Amino acid sequence: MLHSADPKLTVDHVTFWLEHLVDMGEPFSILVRDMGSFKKLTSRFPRLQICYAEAPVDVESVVNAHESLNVVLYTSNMPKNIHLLRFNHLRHIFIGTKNSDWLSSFNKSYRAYDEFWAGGEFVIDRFKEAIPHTAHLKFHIVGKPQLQEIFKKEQNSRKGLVLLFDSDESILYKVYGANRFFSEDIHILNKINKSTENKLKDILKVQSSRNNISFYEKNMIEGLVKTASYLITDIKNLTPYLLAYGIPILLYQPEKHKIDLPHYPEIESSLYLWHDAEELEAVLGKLAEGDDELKMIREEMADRFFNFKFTLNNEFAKRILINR
Amino acid sequence: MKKLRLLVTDPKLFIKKVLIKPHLIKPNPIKAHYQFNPFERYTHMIHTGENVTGLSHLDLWIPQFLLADIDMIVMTRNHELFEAVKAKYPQISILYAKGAGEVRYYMERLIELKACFYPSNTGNNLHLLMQNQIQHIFIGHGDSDKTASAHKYFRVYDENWVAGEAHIDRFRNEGFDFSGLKQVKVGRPSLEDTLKHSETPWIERFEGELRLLYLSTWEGFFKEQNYTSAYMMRDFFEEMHEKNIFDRIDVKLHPWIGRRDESLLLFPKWLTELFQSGDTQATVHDKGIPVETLIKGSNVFICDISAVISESLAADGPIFVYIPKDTKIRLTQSKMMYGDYAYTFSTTDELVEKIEEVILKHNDYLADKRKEAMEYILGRDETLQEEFIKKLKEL
Repeated sequence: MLHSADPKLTVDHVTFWLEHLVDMGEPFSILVRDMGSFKKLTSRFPRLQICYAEAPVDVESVVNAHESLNVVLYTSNMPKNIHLLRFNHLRHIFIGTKNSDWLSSFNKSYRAYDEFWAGGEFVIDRFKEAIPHTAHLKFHIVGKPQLQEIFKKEQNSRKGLVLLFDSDESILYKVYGANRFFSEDIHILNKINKSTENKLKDILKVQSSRNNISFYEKNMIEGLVKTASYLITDIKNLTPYLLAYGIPILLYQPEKHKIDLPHYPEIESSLYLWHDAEELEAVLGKLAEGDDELKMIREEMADRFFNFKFTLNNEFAKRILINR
Repeated sequence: MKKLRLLVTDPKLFIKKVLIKPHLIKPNPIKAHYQFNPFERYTHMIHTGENVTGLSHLDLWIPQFLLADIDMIVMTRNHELFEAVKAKYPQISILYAKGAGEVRYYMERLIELKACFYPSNTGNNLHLLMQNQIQHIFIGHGDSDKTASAHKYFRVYDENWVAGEAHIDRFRNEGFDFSGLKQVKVGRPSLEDTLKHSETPWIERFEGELRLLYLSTWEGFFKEQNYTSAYMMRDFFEEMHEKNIFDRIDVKLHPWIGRRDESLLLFPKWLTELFQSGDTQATVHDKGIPVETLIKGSNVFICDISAVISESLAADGPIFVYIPKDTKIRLTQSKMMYGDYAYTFSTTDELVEKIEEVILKHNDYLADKRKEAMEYILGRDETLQEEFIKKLKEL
């Protein structure tokens, strides 16, 4: 059973795992704790077994109705999880979601679970640093099955750069300026309004650009990075997930020599940092010559977060089958 | 649109709900405090996530914290409860925090806090458990062997302060790994008086009077969880009324009795009417009266399966426990079963038979086992040695 109790994010959390639960081929149920999520999910996935339980007594009814239930997977650590955690005959496994490995504040309440399934070593180290005494809690690395296709992709024939940024328009002009010698296509992932988009296009046309500049919604990133050479971003959009794409990440620093990554400071060593068009041009120049000096660090870092081997070997599905 | 539709379809209701009601109802605050000084060194906090019914839990512990003379504070998550605690314990500092944000607000100001104590398991305990820098100690609200008392969620706490060895055995027998949870025996401090009082043999208390206390449970959310004897006690009380065995009968029903089966709401009235004639002094007490008060005044007990069995045990008089016949009873297991130290029954005839044997024929054959249970279940020695207060001060 997949349990999700965050009324704002349940639909996202369930959708994140759904494909991989279905692919397993084992029967499963979904239990949600708010009516809004229940309605959205049942409408979107009418063939799935989805339950809604409001109060502890309702959860008990659901558990009693599932005679062969023996494993519960939790996407988030919420107060309502307690209603299921009191069933001792069930195995309680925390699996988290897309960003939980680095955004969750690990605390003693996670000791309620029997197992913690991690994307990679990174989150286990974070966890143990926050809570040294974990006694019974079993940690298993399962990778991120959602990244399987990305990890399988070919590295050849790449071109273009993906620009993922928010608010500070000056970054666009700096990128444009640095790119004038390289003429890479620029794919801009930024939800800006149409008039601003048109204004930017007009300004860039006036600059006699030979570049092809196009604008996309942020959720199209995975399609674009599959063929792009580089990823340029700002701190606001930086997450370890970007490491999974396997291409150089060029991080814009608004203020030189100052960078603050509270949740994952260690990834700084895998990033090319730049502040102005001149610095960016220098980085792009080296990369164009094939000098990607951070490639190995980047791959090691990605492995620490997502574990390539376990992701590609379907460790998540294997663990589910062990526990059934 | 909703309001517009209401105006068109039901103008009177529109006026009541939209125009008048919002101004009459004062919205509850999201945080409040009473006698809270952030410059004070509060070291111990009791956190309850219950609604106003949580006052009975706090009644068990606040007096003990006060006796320990430590810098304590209480945090509630329900505004009604906050007001109730304020009214009952005006001498202590109290906080009310509605959500996680409000908890964080106060925790940032409780910089000397060493430990948070939890009388019950509620989901919103999570907001405190996020504070890794303090100790989290579960203290409970009465010994119980229902399945709610020993489950995996307890592993979130650093320590579980239990009455006696029985509760630790309940965890062991549930078969899951709780090796990270430190179990600490502290006895039942709220029963200290009752335990001291019970040093006089039950038959000699109250100048030879026989005083029966009947403590029922309620009928449960589901039929399968119906442990109440209330349905069959009518015949029993009619027989007691005829035979006049007891000098006094006190009855305290569970606060929730009749919640699922409304016919049980008539039970108190029926009992009161039955005993109006006859020589037996019989009282059906208010559901809110503390059990300890009644237990100290009785020497024979009839109980349903619930925490009151342990409370009655402290008085060291014969206990008769109702075991429903056709109901699967889900209990956590310790080394002593009810039948080891209490006289169990499933029918009125069985109960009457055992009452006659034990009480009238003076054959209290479980007396020794009862003494053993007092130590094993209640932690009699720890209680009388005030172990709870010692542990509080050690932190």
